Amino acid sequence: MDIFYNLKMVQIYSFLKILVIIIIGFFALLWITKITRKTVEKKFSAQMGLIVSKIILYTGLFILLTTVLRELGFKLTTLLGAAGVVGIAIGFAAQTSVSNIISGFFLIAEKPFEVNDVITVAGKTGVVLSIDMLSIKLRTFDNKFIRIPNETLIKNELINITKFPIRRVDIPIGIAYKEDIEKVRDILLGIAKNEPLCLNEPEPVVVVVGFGNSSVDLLLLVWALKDDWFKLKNILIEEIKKRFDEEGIEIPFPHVSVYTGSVTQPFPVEIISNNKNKVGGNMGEIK
Amino acid sequence: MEKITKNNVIIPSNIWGSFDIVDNQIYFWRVGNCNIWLKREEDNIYIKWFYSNSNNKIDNENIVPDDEGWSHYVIKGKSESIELSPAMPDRSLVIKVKRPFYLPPGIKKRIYIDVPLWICISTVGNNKAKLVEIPSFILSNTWFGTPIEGQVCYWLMSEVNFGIEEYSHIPYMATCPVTLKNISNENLLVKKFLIPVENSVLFIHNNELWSDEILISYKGQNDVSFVECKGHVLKEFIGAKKICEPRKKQTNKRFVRTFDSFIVKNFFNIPLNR
Repeated sequence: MDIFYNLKMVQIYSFLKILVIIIIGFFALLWITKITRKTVEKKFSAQMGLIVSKIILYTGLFILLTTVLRELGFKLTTLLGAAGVVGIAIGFAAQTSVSNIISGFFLIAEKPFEVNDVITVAGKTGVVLSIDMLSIKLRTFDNKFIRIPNETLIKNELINITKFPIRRVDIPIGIAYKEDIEKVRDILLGIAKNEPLCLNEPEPVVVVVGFGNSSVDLLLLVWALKDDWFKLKNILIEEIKKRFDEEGIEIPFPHVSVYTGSVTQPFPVEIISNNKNKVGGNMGEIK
Repeated sequence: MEKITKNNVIIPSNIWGSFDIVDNQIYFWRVGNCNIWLKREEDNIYIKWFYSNSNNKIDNENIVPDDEGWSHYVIKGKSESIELSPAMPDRSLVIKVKRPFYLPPGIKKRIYIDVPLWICISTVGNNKAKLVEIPSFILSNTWFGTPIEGQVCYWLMSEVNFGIEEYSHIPYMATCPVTLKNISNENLLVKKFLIPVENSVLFIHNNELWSDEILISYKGQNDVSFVECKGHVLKEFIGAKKICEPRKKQTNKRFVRTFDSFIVKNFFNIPLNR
């Protein structure tokens, strides 16, 4: 009886000990994770705080688990041996996930973007919602949710549209060959100068890009704060159209001039009426 | 307070100060390019402002704007008075000097620049509240810095006055005394520089508005300048009264590039990226 009683007491004692370890360990781990996250967030960034806290949490859980298993009498060496085999199997299966995690660390170290930046990657553009262990999350401007694996970010070109505080707005304009380029330049620079969103410096510039098939191609370059970029582009395009209409400046349609072989000879045309009577004049049949 | 009444609109003769207002009466002020209409209905204040330019002037204050565009402020209690007070701009100014000049090494010179003021409209009394703050002129934005970092400032093309004696003050502008000191070994071409007016204090002396003295020490093209807002008006103005604290306190003297904006010749990356 005494033996059974003692055995029962030992079991109850072990059970209670394990329970205490789990409860105290778990809550202590949560508290340490929370404090660490807040400290790292203040000193570095929110994403760094999240990553560090997760590392501490998973490491702590692993230590807690091994402690509990040891208390329960399991031999850790055997377990580790088995874990090694399982680890290899999981490693093969989880190559992509591990690659994403490692890519995530590289992204954190490089810091090509932060939360709330607007980026373009793999043809997708959106606002960065979060940067996580395996992937980043974007919100597109038409409110779609996109999950991009970290590996994709490391492997592909990434454009951070909002990294720098100012951006240039490039507006291509084609004017008819008959127009006076200097006059058009003055009008364009005047529009830029009168627009408050357009920065005075760097100065707006008009560049003659070249002679197109249908027009003389110009480029108006102005600078704006990154938050004003889109609005300024719209305003300028509308204002340019309005001023060109007022000044009678032609923005030509794409067109082709056809000659019969000599610029000075008129192109022969014949208009055939509905009753098939030929109309006189300097005309020929259209074929 | 002397006032002119034209039909329904009362036009106070002063632009700064406290003004008694009555219900359902429209008041008008013209401060710089800014035209302001204001009316009160019980504990509601309505304000509309409009900026004139060469194409669009307000010649008749009686043409009260349409109901659209009035800003509506619900205030606590009924305020019998409104105050219009001046304030310095909320950002630094990049001054483009109309007639640039050279300052040789070792030379120190004080110049005077007119700075457009902001208009602060508040209720007066126990329930004092700031309703709105608007500029007397719309100043364009400019960037002072590199493409990677810098600050957005206001752009002001200005004459520079070298003497105080023949200075004629404009009521909606503050005169800013800037002392330029060239402590480098090279000539300083003063054609464009930055003044941190958001750190400036505003004073009134003989009905003239003055900012505190700003000292800029130039150390050379490859070095940063030393900029300090002194916090006090010129010594000549005995009895000047402080009327507005700086928007941002200058905690320590700033070392900044004030005479150029880092914009180097290859700022534009041509060939262009489309």
